Amino acid sequence: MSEKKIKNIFVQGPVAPAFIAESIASHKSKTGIGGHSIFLGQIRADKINEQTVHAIEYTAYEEMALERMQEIREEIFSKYTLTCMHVHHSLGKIEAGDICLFVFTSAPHRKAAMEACEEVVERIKAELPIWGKELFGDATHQWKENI
Amino acid sequence: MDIQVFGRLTEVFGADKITVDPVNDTDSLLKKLRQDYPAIGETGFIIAVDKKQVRENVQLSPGMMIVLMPPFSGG
Repeated sequence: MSEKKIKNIFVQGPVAPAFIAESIASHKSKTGIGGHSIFLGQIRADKINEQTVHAIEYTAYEEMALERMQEIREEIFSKYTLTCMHVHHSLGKIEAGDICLFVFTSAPHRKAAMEACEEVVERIKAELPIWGKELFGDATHQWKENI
Repeated sequence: MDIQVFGRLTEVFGADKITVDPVNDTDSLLKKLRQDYPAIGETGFIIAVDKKQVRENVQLSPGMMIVLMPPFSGG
């Protein structure tokens, strides 16, 4: 494990579109960047057995998730030539249509940014101890499963 | 020993923390959990000890942080 400070990726509630815009704007001074890649995860109003998902409530084993994310970050930086990378994942109840995951990679050249972004999203889903509870309109729920 | 649980396991156990009599290793813990909590049934989960996923039998000692994690569903 590196001794670098562990970055927090968790935010309570949805990721605000204005925050995403500000994040993009904050890279203006980094003129070595030639391409950004952004992934936004949005809560889908899935229909399951006549029921519609109204929201997903996220919980996480935060300490372990942040350590694992730090390891993923280091592996991604050693694999791709990136300028920077930012990850934000929601906790708590996120309504359908809101943003729950924001992954933002920037690099001198587009391919590194795009490939790194895709790998980070896949690894977040597979490797971070985060759980989503799909809430239906009638107060019932089911636990989400990543496929 | 205290064990923290997440996701659907909080419903299986009716709490996010359970206490079981001390056992020596994770294999014994699994056996004991399945005996004491038949409600686990087919619910899949993995064990983390001190924030590392257990892939084979691990010796347990007092003070270790033991966590049961169902399949992840973030993102």
